[in-house]
Amino acid sequence: MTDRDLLQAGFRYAYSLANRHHDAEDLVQEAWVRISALHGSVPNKSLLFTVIRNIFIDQYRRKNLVIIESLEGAAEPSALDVELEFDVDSRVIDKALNTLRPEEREAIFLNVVEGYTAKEIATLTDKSRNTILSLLHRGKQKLLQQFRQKSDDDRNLA
Amino acid sequence: MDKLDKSIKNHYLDKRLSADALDRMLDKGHQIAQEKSSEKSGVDGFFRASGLTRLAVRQWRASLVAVFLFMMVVVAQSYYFQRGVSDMVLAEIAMNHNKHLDVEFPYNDYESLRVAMNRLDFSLIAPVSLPPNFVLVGGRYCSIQGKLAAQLKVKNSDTGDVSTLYVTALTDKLKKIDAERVVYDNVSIKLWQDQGHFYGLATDA
Repeated sequence: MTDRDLLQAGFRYAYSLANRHHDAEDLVQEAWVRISALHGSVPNKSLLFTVIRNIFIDQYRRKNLVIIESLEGAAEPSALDVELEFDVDSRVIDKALNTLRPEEREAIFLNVVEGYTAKEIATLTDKSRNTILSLLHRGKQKLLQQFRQKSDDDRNLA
Repeated sequence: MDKLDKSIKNHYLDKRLSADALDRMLDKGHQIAQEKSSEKSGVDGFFRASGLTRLAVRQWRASLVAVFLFMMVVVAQSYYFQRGVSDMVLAEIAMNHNKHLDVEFPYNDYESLRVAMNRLDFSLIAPVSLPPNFVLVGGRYCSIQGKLAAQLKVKNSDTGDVSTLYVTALTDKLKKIDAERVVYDNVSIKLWQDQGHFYGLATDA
């Protein structure tokens, strides 16, 4: 993977956390500089993701901007039992993703885009596998709900 | 992969850094890497030229590192810490200034900006020591050393030059940075503290 590919991957991961272009750019830039200063180069994607994550947590979780939603009582989830029956516009996806918690977006991104398993995401984010499955399930359910609502609204308007 | 996953994947794969942003970050990374590399090769080169074996060079290097660390900890700990933080802040400010990002909140008075930038955990006020000919253009969020900060654009009404003013709450770490004016990465930067705030004014050098 070239440095450019690494940066783009880091940017997309940062975007999944921040869901704003400028914030994601700031996150990946700060992480890139920190790692370069420490190691002389950025050795792998895993380290880049970890540093981006730490910076994000420093900046946002300490400000209580991340709402901690309890996962207690969540049924044993399966992230695979949600399906979409129609195509969705990217702007609608962006808007819907913005309503998700960063943890949900992060889990979905790592699973769907990076191809990590729930167990791997759990290791990376220091959470249990069940928590990751819950985040994936809840996040996708929320997205589906919004896409269907938007589709119904569009149909009613037509 | 179902349609939902495909839609999400395509959505994220469409998100890309611009070529300019990529180049800027890569340049900065290379610059820092080269500085590290030249420090390392300088020491190795000196000892190898003296005819020492690789093992001896390593031992010398380890001894030097140990001595340096000891000296650093015992003799100059506070100074190096202060300087390190100061350099990191300067690098951060210069890099952000060179991005020339547009303001997100275009207000020319501090009161409106304070209302708009309600995520800040400190009160946004005009620094007393900022010359009166610097007019506020607007602001956006940024961070200094991981702390949420405001990045304000101010225009010098005499010259028309636009500077970037960084403001954040004064933390224990930032308190150790002395007021100074330096040129870093072709950016003239003035750092100072005022009324519980930490300020950095960046102008193209």
